[in-house]
Amino acid sequence: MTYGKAPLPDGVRACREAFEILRKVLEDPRPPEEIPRDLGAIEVLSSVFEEVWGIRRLAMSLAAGDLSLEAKGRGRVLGALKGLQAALRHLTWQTRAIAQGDLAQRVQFLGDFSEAFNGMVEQLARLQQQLRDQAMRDALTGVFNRRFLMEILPRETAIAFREQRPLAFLLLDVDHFKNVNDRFGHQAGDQVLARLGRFLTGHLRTGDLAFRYGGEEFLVLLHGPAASEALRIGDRLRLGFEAEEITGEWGTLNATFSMGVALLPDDARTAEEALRKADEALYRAKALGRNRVVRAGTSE
Amino acid sequence: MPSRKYQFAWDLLGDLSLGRPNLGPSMRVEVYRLMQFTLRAVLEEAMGTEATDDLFRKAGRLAGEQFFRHVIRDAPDLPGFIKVLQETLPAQGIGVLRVEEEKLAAGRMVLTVSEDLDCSGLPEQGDQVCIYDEGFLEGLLEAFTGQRFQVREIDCWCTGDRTCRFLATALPSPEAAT
Repeated sequence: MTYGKAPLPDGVRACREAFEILRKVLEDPRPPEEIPRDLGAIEVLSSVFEEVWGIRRLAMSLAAGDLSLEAKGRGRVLGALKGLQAALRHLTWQTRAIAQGDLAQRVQFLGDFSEAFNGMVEQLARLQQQLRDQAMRDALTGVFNRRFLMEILPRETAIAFREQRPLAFLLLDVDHFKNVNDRFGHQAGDQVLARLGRFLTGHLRTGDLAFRYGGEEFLVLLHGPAASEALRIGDRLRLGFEAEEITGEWGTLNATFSMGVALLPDDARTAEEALRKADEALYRAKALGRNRVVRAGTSE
Repeated sequence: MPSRKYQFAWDLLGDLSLGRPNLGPSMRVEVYRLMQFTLRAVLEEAMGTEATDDLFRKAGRLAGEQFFRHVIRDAPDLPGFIKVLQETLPAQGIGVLRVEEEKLAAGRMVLTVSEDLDCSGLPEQGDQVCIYDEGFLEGLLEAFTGQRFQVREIDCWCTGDRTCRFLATALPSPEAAT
């Protein structure tokens, strides 16, 4: 039905004005904040007006990147916007959690964005792990470094005492290392150390640990062996490394090491004491002619 | 107090592998809601809305405490606690938990639960209905922090929202809990 240019009936004119007001709330830069008094008689208009205003406020707030608005209204469209706000707030919280080191957070929101964001977090986690590895490992030999040893030694010692399991300290030193450097060059010396690091890593049981203790000194921590077994493992390592041929541009050589062994709690009450006794035993192994394993408190 | 017939214990949930070897531990959400809303209807008829809400909240709190004790078991810290909840609640079909705001040290937290077991998909009614969830979250937070919490639903599916939003506020003392 059309009315042409004839005057509109009051009801139709009022409806048209009501729709125009609602359209302005959605689209105008400066929409009306109140319903004109003469339209106040349309009961439903008041609640729809508030609802549309609620949608406008939250939509404009979200579009401006402001997540702080506490939208009071109800309804499906406003509810959907609130859902978006909730997801963005959660994303903000997750980003803060990630910034504080919680790299287990993963986003499940906004498809491609989630994929990119999660990829970034995984990359961060990988880099963090690499940094952690670099901080605890010796670059040349690949075994753990002395700083990491000092970090974990109190815990390892406490576990050994609590579980009443021996902790064996195998301190070893490459024999005649200075001669290797002098005769074959420092590159050969480095190669011997690198090979020894790989050898130890490849020949220890899961849970046993190898460290570079000093220049050509290494420490192996064995969990749980009796003294006889620790000595047997030490000797097996010694014989195995002796058989390794180390080859480079400078030629081929076979290196050996001497080893001192001390056990907690048999030979010492503290890690420091065990290290000192293992060092004394290593000194004796050197004095006895090198390429041998000596236990703390014994001559062989 | 008279002797109790059903003092709650986790064992009351039964051995499902023994009791339901073919049907298994899962059931349809409608069945859960059928029990919840029929129970709610008769309680409300007998005791009124406020008393029913109070009972549902108390039951939810007990469930939250027990859920923490038997399912979550332990959490090393707040991020760990939230992470376990984010994994466990969807896995159990309870809902997808998100954190909007976390100032637990100041006693305030805003959480949302979408695809909520209790209310998502219900007809719009103009009122929040997740009273049991309020108690459940109170129980979880109290079991983790050792502090009393009041949790109230701000937005709900039943008020037209697509996600349920809860404001958790630490209570100054146990006596202040409602």
